[in-house]
Amino acid sequence: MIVVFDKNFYKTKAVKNSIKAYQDLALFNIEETANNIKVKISKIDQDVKKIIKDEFCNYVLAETKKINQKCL
Amino acid sequence: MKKEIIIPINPNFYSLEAVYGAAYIFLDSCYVFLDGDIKKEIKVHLKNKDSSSIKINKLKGEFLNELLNCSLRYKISHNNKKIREYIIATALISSSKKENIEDFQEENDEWGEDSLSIAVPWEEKFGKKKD
Repeated sequence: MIVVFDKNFYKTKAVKNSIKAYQDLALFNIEETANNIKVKISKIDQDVKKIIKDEFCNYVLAETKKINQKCL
Repeated sequence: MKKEIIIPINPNFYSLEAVYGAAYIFLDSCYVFLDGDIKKEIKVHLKNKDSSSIKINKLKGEFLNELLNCSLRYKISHNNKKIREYIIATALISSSKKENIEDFQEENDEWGEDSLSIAVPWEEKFGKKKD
């Protein structure tokens, strides 16, 4: 399962914080390019297999907003 | 069943902060994902959660209302930034001045007591008494 975050909308730090929070539920590999942050999710816990991608995206968005608020 | 809608947003009308604000409010009721072109068109993907009873068509209208609300709030907050900072600065300065005056008065009161008789001249304390 791969999720691609656009760097214009999501912060790398937010993605890393989210990975820390979700590390017990799956294995995450992060790959950064100039415009995107690519996250590969594998070895997902069976209980959360259906929702982990969407929940992870929500978490990253919340973290990004938090980081942006601190910067203001 | 999960359904997804994509809401296109013109960044000339709504700031990215406003989009974040509206998206943050909807995190509880649905899954939100942002992509698209930040200069031309921001795409907001909304997907309802299984537990959520809100219909997906209704979500779009509610999201756009919230976006307008957030946009106005950010605009007002931006316009009032200087006056807000001025009010806070004035309040902080006036409170610190008041504290200083109170401290000074307290120190004066304590000095006035002179329990060790430091302010009494040596002659008065130990000098020969005149008849």
